[in-house]
Amino acid sequence: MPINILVVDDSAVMRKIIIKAIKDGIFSDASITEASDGADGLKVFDPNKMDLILADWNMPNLNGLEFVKKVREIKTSKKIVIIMITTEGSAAKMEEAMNNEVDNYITKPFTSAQLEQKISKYFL
Amino acid sequence: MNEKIIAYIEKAVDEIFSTMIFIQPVYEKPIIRKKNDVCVPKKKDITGIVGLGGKLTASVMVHFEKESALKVTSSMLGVDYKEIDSDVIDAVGEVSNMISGGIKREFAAIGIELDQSLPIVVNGKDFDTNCINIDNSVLMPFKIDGHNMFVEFSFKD
Repeated sequence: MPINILVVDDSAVMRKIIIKAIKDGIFSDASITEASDGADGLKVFDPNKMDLILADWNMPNLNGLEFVKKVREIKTSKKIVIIMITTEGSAAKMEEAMNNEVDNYITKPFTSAQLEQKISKYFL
Repeated sequence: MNEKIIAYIEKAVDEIFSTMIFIQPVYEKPIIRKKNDVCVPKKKDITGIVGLGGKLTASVMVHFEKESALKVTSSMLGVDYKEIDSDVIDAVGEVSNMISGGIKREFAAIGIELDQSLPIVVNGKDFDTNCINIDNSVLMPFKIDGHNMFVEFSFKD
């Protein structure tokens, strides 16, 4: 069954790269929704529809971690996989993310194969 | 410290160009600035700027000639860009963000945790950028298909 993915990143270029990586790989039939920051992400987020969220950390208006906290406050969102795609890569930052119910993370820069591998861990 | 910063910049640039841009940049001799040196590289058309703060205050600036910015964006997105547009501006910001993020991770590994600002991009003709401290400033020139890219790191304790 195709997975429903929400991509949240303030860079339109990064969203294009992420979407191309997904569409060119084994998840080519995924349905993808885009959001340009955390606040925009909350507007389009549908806990009954989304399977996976790929979120940047450093964004204006509502950053990625604050966005994740808001998403996790919604009871029906617990089953949704959240992967952060971020330049934040220190052990301290990753621990902070995991403590806030982020399932996994990818450090920018990344390859298409690395992204697909992370998604495959939950959806294959 | 300057040698460490040069190594951090090289590693960050290597990571980005090998994973997401797929061009081999040509490294040129790094310039460690001295008092009264000029801060700004002359040949640049678009610059991404990221601030770092915490145990030290730093700025990361990534300067591109128009041709090198177009080449990097085209290669990242697999589309041929001929002029600087919103995608090129966004790509320069994102490359600057990732180079800064790479440098930040290296500092974190030696116990210096830093926070990073969102990138700002400036483009046009004859604009100046000033580094935050000429006494602690490194300028690293690269060639992208024969065109200039500079990474400039400057910090205050």
